[in-house]
Amino acid sequence: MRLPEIIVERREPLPHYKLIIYYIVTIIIGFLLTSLATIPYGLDPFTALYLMLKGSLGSKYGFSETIVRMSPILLTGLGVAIAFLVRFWNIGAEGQLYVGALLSALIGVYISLPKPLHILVASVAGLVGGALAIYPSIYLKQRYGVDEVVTTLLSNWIYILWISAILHFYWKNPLTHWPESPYIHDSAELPRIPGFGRMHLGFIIGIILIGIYYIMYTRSKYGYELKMIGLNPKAAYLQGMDVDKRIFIAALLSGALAGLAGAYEVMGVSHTIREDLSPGYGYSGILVATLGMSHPIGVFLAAFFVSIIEIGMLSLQRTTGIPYPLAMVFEGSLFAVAALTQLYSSYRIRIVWRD
Amino acid sequence: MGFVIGVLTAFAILMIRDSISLMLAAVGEAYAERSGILNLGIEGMIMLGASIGFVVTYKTGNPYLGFISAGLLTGLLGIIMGIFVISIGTQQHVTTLGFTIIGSGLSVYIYRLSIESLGGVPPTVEGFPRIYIPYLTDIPVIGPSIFGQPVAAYVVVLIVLFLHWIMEYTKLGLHIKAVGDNPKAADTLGVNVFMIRYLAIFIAASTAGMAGAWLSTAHSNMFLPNMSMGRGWIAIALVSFGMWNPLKIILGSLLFGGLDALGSVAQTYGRNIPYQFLQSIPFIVTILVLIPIARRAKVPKALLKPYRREEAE
Repeated sequence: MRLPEIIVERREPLPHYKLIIYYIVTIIIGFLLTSLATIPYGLDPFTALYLMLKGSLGSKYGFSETIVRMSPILLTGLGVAIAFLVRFWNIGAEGQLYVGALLSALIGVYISLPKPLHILVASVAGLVGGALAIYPSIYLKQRYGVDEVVTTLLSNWIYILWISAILHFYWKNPLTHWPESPYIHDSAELPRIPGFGRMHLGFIIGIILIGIYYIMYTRSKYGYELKMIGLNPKAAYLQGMDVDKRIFIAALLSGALAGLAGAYEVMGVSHTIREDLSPGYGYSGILVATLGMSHPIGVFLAAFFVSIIEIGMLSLQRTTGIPYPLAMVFEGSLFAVAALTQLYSSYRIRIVWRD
Repeated sequence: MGFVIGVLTAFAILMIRDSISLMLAAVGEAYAERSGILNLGIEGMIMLGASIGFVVTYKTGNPYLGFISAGLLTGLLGIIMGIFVISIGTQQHVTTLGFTIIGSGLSVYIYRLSIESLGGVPPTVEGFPRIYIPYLTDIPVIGPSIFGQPVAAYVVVLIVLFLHWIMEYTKLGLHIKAVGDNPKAADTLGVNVFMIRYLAIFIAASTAGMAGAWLSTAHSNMFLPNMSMGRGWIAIALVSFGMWNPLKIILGSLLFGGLDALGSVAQTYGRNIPYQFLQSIPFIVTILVLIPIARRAKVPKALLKPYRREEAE
């Protein structure tokens, strides 16, 4: 019997344009494979794609919903990207998002301030919440060498369970009696962008932060150092860099940005914190950071792409009855695509048949 | 007194039921980790197994068939994951996390495709019969919890004990551990690193699938989206908590299952107890346990590292 063997060999890194082409091809293959699942519903893949694009980009409503979806994903994606840049594997963006949301909701409910100041303070609370949430994982990693993949992953559940307890037992909304916080003051609500539905200021701030990250990534010494730490921490250390301190700051920033995503969901969309505030924005952030290879433009495009898929699938579910979880199957396969393409950039993959 | 006995019985039954799914998934996960693969796909694989197990049982009326199909088909997903993380060697945490998302999406898709919606009420299946041993099952508290569980519970216990035996007392177990600690040396000694890892990932995935089927055909007799509710992550925690040793993991799962059951009982009987704090204890304990062992050599050394012959150190 002849069996296939996969051979993986190191090679010179591919030029960027080639990598992008491979990327697009693998994404299309992933899409086609996933879209086979639409056939039992009497829909061919291309019609499904057309309906998805129509639902997510084809109308002003669809477009604004796509942007609303994209706003938190952009922030969690940016946060995870910074951590991944220095190879701190932050899998805990989901929990960090919730802690950020909780602190900003506390500020939004219990403090009264004039509008711009209130928004500022509540945003800072979100940043602080996210940073606090990731801090134990950084500390344990740097002080005791505990693997951050496991601690950030497990901390997601710790935070989500605690917040669930708080909302069910200590901080119910007195108006609705639901497990959600009281509504935040008007002064802490993010302004919406006129004419674009629920689209809010958080998106603009996300774009600005991506811009800042772009400058840091491409032009600053700091960005260069972070990239260097990610590629070769030993060499960075030998050059005299304080590697641990830079990883500490990058990881803290990563948590803070995830926290900000949660804060903006509270301040811009729901105006209260609920248990189901996030349909997995933290995990989408990991996808976006990986797909975008921690590059600012990559992260931006990936966040847009993922939002199109999610809103497109929601619309497809409404119009054709195809279950929304299919979007998750596709997104999950994108993780593998992203990991594969990253590897492909510096490895050749061949399949040989052997007896 | 009757009330106390009632609460205790409910607690004991739930504790065993929760531990059953945890020990099965976690012992499987230990196989993956011991061979050098951190499988974060486990949470999604439990959901997928729950869906397949339920659907097959619903269609055929045979829970054993559901249990086996869940194990085999989820194992197949594990093999596909293996192509990425073993043969190609993509980043494990990213790839396997993707498989959790695939699994949870697929679970709902398969369920909705196969089962007609009955206006919001989720359909149920008969599921596994419960055993009844005269006298033994009638003992208060211990009887119904230890001698009155669905048949699958005893099958699971046999499976995990068997897996413990393989891991600790056979040559195959030795090979698995060797592959996870020093793949290069194992390869030199003629152990097929890739085959062993595929086997380990298949075991990890299929036990996760069976743990899911246990949830939907024995623990409760219906399928709900996200019904694993973090059990996969608890299983990952358990593997570290039990220091990669199946027997310790089995004992740990009784402890974690007990905590989870305490949460459920608190939810049912005491309206004002924030049960979520109880539910978070396994995660906190695990992180605390990881601190002293992190720098010791307990962690499989090749964990997260793909093996490539050409560049092995």
